[in-house]
Amino acid sequence: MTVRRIAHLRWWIVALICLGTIINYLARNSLGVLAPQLKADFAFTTQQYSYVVGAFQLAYTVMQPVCGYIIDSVGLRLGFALFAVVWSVSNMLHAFAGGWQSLAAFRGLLGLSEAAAIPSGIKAIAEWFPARERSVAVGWFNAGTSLGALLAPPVVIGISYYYNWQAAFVFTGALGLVWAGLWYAFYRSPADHFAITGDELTLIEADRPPVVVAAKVSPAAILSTPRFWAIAIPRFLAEPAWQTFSFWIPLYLATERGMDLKSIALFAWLPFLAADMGGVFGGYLSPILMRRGLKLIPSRVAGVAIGAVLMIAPGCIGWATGPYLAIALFCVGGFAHQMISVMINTLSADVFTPAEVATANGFVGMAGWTGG
Amino acid sequence: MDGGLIFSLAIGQLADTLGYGPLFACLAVFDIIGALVLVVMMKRLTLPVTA
Repeated sequence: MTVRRIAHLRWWIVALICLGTIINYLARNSLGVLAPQLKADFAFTTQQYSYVVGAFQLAYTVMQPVCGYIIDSVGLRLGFALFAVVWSVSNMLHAFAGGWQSLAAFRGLLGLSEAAAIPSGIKAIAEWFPARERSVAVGWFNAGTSLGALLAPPVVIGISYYYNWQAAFVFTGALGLVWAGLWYAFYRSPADHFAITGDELTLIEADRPPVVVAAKVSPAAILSTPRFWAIAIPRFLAEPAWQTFSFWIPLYLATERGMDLKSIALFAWLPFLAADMGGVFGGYLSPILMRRGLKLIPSRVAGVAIGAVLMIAPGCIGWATGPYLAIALFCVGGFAHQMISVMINTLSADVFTPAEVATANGFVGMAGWTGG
Repeated sequence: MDGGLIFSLAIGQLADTLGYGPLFACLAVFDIIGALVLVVMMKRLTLPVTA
């Protein structure tokens, strides 16, 4: 049996990663959308709800490097599929929660398995993309995070309206199971992929580091390199902006700008759309700068620097004269932040080998979540 | 990404007393420091090819 070869297969791989990211973020954002209803059904306090949210955040923060290490050890095809199965089942289990304690337990389980997503995506891009195109791939992959978050409210509210909240958790979880099957069926490393063309394999392999790196990935060795800290420190410093945008924009617009709930709903998603655009733009900016003579690493650093300068705009939000100017400045902030974020994630794939990048990126992510 | 720990806790403590303005200004300052760290340490960012 001959298998049909597909040209530019790497872009299909990044589409598959992006789809997985959308489903991952759809699942993790389901809880927030259903929170008001769950709070009423289970009669838990805001503090108890914060424990539920905290269980996810703590598990996720701690597990990113662990998931990355497991992925580096067992390989992407099996490893990412298994983590997707675990996060899907954890999400579906939310439907059986009987109170805030069981909800927190399932939430923790979701956090520790979903932590695999970003390190896995970065590793797949490190395996499949020549350095020049890597940032573009990371930009599109990164867009999946906000897309999942934007899709969550209509999908989850729709299902819980027509069926019930339990069905919403089961549905967003089940999507992950379907995706895990797709991943296991279609993902291979470039050299093992059944549908790759000879041309593409040559293109990818021409760009591989020639050094054979020790097969065993050492977290201690990663943490002791200056290049790790050169990436982790900016990540730690950048993440607070995103946390603030994610959790405080609606509250800020309501309390400081006197906007009503309806206008907030109409405008509060705009910074996240701008954020997706910023990530994709940052991805394309790097090869553009390289064509103008910048080397690979300086082209990424330039992207971070431009993003940091743009962040001055939302930094001045306190002086904005009206709510719409404030929203516009938030849009600049979202755009700039995701530009920085994509460049930093790309850098982790640049300076670490494909064999160790999931672990390294997991540690970088851990630094970010600690800071945020 | 959603989540995060230190700054989220800090903003919860400080938003009411300081107001949001200074906190948003902090975010820009953090990013600029981060970019400076990256520029200063750029020479340390070696590609695995030359490792």
